[in-house]
Amino acid sequence: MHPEHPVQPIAFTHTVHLAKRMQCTTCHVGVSQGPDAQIPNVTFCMGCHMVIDTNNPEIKKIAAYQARGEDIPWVRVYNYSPSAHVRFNHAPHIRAGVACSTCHGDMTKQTTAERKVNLNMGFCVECHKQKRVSVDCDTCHF
Amino acid sequence: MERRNFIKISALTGVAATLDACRAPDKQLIRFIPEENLIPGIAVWKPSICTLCSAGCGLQVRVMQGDAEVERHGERGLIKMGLAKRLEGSPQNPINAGKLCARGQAGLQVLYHPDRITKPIKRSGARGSGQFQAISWDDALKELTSHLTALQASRSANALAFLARPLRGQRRELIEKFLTAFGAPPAVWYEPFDEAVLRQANLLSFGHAALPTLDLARADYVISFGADFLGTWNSPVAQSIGYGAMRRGRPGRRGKFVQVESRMSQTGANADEWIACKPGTEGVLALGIAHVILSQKLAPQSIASPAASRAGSQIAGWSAGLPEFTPEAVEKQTGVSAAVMTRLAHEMTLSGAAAAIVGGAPLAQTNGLFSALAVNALESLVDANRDEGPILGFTPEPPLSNAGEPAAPAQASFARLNSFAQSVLSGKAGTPQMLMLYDANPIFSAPPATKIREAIARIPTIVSLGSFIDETSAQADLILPDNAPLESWLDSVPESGSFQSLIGLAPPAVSPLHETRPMPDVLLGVAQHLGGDLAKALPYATFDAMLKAALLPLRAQGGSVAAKTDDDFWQSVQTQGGWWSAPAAAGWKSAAAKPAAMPQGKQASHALTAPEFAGSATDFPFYFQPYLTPSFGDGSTAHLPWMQELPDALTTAMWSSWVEIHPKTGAMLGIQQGDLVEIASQAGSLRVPAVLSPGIAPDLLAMPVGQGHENFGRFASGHGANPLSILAPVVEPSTGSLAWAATRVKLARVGGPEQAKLVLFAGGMSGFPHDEKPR
Repeated sequence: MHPEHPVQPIAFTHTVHLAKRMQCTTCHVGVSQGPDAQIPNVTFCMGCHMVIDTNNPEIKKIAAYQARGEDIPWVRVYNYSPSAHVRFNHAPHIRAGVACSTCHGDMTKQTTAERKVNLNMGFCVECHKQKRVSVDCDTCHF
Repeated sequence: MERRNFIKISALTGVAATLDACRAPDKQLIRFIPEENLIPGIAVWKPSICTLCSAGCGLQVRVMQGDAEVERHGERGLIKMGLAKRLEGSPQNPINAGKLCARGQAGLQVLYHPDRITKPIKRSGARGSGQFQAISWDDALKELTSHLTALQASRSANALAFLARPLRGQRRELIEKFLTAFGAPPAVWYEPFDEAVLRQANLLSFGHAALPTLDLARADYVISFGADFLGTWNSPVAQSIGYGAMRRGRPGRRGKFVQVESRMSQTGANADEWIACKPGTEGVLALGIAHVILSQKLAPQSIASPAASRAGSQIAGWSAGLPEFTPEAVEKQTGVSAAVMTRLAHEMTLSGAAAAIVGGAPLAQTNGLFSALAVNALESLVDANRDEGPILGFTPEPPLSNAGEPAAPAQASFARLNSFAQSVLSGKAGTPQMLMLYDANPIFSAPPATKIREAIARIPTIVSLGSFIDETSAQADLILPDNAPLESWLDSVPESGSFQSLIGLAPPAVSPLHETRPMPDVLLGVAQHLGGDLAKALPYATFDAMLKAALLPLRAQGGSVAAKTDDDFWQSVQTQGGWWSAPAAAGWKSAAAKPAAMPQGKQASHALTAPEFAGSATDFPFYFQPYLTPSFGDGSTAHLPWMQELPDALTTAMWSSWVEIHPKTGAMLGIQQGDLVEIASQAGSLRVPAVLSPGIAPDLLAMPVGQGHENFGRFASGHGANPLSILAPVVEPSTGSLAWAATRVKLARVGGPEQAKLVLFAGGMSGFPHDEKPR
């Protein structure tokens, strides 16, 4: 499994961005459309940071990535091991009104994302039972 | 060291190594900024066209975001991009209606092949040494244009030669226009199995110089003379769909299918009745059947029909009822009994809709044209004069002036290659000084007697526009790699397989993985750079502009795309994967039923000539038949590992070559399954493992084409042997086509199974139930 406190190449702060009233979906655009929430690429970051806070050393790092033609090599925080043979799709959970914080913790209090919730099978099944949705094996294991 | 310590230490080092490997593997490769924004995890199906044979099936490509390992600006790294994950047939396409063959599905491996040439390269060692160095596109294009301007400056533009696989559609148009405007001779279109004989025969018999389209779904009786129409011949996917409907699509009415051939093909294995006939006498057998029909007046209405009298007039003695072809006389020549012939004649004329087709080995004899005309005459006798139209017809040409090949068959491609090689070797003034290669590999696929290897070695400058190193492009001085088909604008004008006229068109399904450029764009760019007539003849910046200009006139024709504006039309054609005429068009049946006007000066009827073979029957006692396989075609898909590991349908052999030998012949020569044997002809010899197969005539040896590459990537090189390398340069005289089944060979055991490499997936054919135990 991936570390709970992964060291990211950029000390991105969720706290700061969310305090500016940005929505999760501003950056994670895939979350309501498909399986993967998506992390935007460096061009998207620089869309704002061309002008905002350009002297911040972390932002200079982002600008340097872009100048080299490289994307930011983010380290994954949440993932399943391939042997778990499980698939997760964000979009139906968002459609059903599940809050992002249910699985990812309160992001307004996190700088770089940390694994605050242990997403094991017990966690998923518990919630599926509470919400009276399918707990058939092949809902997730297919 | 104690055992306990050893285990401890190895466990610890093992864990350390694993942990090390697990640590953020992404860090080893940089990530490039994605060039396109896609939603991960969502698949999109995009249209494309299959280019792995000439049938032109429509594709749909499943494209999803993925990580590709690529090189950008001289550095390796990962990039998120749309990647093709799966190929399926396009459901709307009139040819393949959602189906696709195994070779078509392997088109993915062309895109992701590890041996693809990923950037322009220039020869750095001796020619053919395989030493190349990477250069930039700017330098590569500069070098190409400097060679071309040098030719222009020395007033020897006619010393430019272009060698390519026969193409149809706008790629052909582009190359032709380029060569004409440059002042060079026409391209040498080369393909070893090019069907020139059948096109010529169809022109004489039916007035169409094309391969036929078969409406098998309506047939009640089909007799095929050597045509492997479910495997490799013509448009196999379209024919398989029709065949399925003929056999199982009409409850209570199952069409009968008879296959005449000397080596059982995949198609022959499907037949109700399999008839072995002496090589080169298939036409005689057809006329034997026709004799019974004519003499017993089994099809009284058809005999007088215009179609039958036209096709029949090609055969000497037809109007007199073919007196020389009595079943008894034909039995002596073909080895097929007179009773069988008579029965077939009765069955064919009594069943509802019957058809006779010809293809493959019968046409690759010195008397191939006669055999084809004979079968065509039988076809028009049994298949004419029906209200609903015949089973055999021809796909209408799309209503564009320059869509397909010219109506009259050009020279056979073997004749073209031969005269090209001879003109180079003659060394006279005006011989080719520069060769441009595209998707043709004659060094592998032409018999050595053409001396094409020597000819190509003599040409001072060779530029390849292909994606892979093969035997021929290995000789190149400069390679400007083409995009893979899935990365390219594609068009196709299928010659057959559809009852509607059809043009396939598709935009690139994925962005280019590597630093390659589409061949058409390279030529268009060079034309603009050279200016003058070339720039005037090809006034397009990119190939899609040329395609758009060519296809827009179709908007007025209605058909499958209804659009108010040109831009709408162009968009709809791309989404649909092409344009086709309305399915209700009566053109197919009426045009096919009505024989076209007889070409002038072609009235002479053809008399039987006996097939001639290279090598005497005493020195070389066996007929030799190379045959095409669904996996490899003429060998140009042998570099795809899925095709290498696909077991042959009848023998289950894979990853190798083999020769099929009748068990009786094997017993006579002491050859057992898997033994190493040597096959020798006048032109050369090769060694392959033996496969004992009851589905072959005892005096015939058959070998699959496609293996035996010396230099075609990691998956094809060094596997098996190439049967084309022992063919004598025998030709069918009226077309100059290679008679690839007219070489005789001898056979000897040279080693046991331990010296041969025969990989069988399963047991293969054990024997026919009605045969005496063969082994």
